[in-house]
Amino acid sequence: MASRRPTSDSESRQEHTIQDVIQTAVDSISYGALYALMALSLALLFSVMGLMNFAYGELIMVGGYTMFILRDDSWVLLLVITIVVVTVISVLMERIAFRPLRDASPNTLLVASFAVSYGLQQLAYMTVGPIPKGVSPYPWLVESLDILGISVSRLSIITFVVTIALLIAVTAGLNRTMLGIQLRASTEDFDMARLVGVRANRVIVAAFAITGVLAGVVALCYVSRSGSVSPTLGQGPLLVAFVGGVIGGLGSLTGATIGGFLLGAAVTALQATLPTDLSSYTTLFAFSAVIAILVLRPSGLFARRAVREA
Amino acid sequence: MATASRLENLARQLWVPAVLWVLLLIVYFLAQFVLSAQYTGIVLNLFITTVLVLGLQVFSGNSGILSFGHIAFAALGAYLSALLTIPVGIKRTTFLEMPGFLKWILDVEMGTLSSTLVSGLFAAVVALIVATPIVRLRGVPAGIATLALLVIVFTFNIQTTSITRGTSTMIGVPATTTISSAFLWALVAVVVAFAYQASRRGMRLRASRENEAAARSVGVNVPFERGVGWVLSAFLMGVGGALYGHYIIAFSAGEFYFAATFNIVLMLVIGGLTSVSGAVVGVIFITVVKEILRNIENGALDGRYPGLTELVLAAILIFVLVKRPRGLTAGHEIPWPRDWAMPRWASRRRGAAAADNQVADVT
Repeated sequence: MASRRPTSDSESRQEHTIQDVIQTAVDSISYGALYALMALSLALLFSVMGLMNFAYGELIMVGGYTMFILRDDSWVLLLVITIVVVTVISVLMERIAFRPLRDASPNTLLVASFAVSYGLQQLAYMTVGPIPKGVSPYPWLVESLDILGISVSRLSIITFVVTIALLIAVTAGLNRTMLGIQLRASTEDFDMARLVGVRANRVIVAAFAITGVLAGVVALCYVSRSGSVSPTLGQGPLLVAFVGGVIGGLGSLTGATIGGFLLGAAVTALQATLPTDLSSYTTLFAFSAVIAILVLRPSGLFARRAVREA
Repeated sequence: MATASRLENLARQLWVPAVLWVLLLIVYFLAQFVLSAQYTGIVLNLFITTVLVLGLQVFSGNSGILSFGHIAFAALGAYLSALLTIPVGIKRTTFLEMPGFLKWILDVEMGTLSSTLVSGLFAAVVALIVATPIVRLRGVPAGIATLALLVIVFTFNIQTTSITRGTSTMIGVPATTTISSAFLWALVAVVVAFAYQASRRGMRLRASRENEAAARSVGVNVPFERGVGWVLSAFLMGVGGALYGHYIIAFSAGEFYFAATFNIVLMLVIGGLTSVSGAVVGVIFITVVKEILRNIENGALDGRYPGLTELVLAAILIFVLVKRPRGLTAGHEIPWPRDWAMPRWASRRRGAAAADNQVADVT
């Protein structure tokens, strides 16, 4: 996390005007929502199939490289293809690595997701190389927008609107559609859901597809802000979302989403306000908190159910 | 005859460590007398990795809890041993901002053997301190907690530049790890891992791995037994880390993070988590595969695809997880010759049947 500090607000270092405070606030909320999307994805896979998917970060990396390849095309094309590519990779991941391990112990799945994550990173080293590639956002994207005399970067606002809209859409989808109900049933008790006729393959592929779409959107927002992409790009945001998810409770979709949002917003705010050497130690405290919560409140701060054990 | 069977019992007990010793000895002789000098470094690395993977096996193999955090102990061992052995003159000019409570270390210049042992003990003490929360967890939460430990130690190492130099490499670490010293430590690690596994404590921990509730019901204090395995394994990791530090000399915090973790987890899981033989077999097998792949990567493919080796290794790991989830040895020790008629470790079905209680497939 520490090493991939966003660069967009370097000029706002001089004084804390109201302007900066509002920009930081908007940033914190929008990136909090971004991490909430990721934590929600992790929680979805975790509750449906006991998979803590560390390879999720690599989906964002794949999205970043897709954006790099398409950087000179129109933004509609870039948007659509990035989301499609990431979703396809996500579903392929399930098909190739995780489906054969469907009934394996959660520990085995954990190792497998590490292997997938590591393999995809190496694939990126192999094909694109270790040097970060610049993905300069469209000029209109970074322009500041005047709202009531206060200028806020357009990217922050777009991220804010898109992620909040997606969170609402996913929630609505989970609550209103048949697939959503099946998914939620599977997160509650997968074996029971299968007994009453929920098709395992369909639900799991759907979970991977949904998390893939979300990862695509996260990639678009995150890489536009960071402005470059490297093979290990996904690790930073994944760790934040993961810690947030654990704090909120990976066993519950709501809990994880809230946890991801709060931690993501806090991290973004701290990165903008704390001096560099101090804010890097925040990682240390965040992960100490993870261990403490796993022991003291294994179900997370905002959830009822315990994280599934072996 | 009583004496004969007693002799056989003794031989049976010593059989596995003896075979593993011979296996390592063969590798040592190959490196010293047969293979060309370019392989010396690879074999040296193999012996150090054996210490590290056995360290991981002592905890994960016996407790059934896969740890992603053990490389953190290796990092502690490497840094402490480096700080204890770097010549005083270099230390005084390099570590100008050493915090007060550690100032004494600038005037210390230890021999490698003692610094290696001290590093192992230091790792064990740190393990003891963090054991309280870790041993209470199992399954995925335990894996996550150990991973958190790795991130914590890495963050500390990379940020605390006054002690560890962070992203810069250490300077002046004596290159004292030789192929012979690494070999001897590997032999020691085999004995330690095997003795622990065969001991009463090891047996209790293995019982908790198979069925925690049953183990508790017969009076096994599961968190305590886990703690014993955890501390012992941290000692081996600290020693292995020190050996590694004195081998590569110039190392930085990034040396002990995800890639290193992946490396030892890969070897242990592919070899077979639950047996000492599995750990050694995994190290040797993966080292050989890695060298072949590296030759292809740099030879036939002319270095056009860096990372190919690691990619294939990741694929091999997933393949093994699917086809042989208990590893190449199926988690068994190398069987006594007379038992070969029914080779347990070659039969996959026996291993699979004994694998973790699996969810019945309903659809």
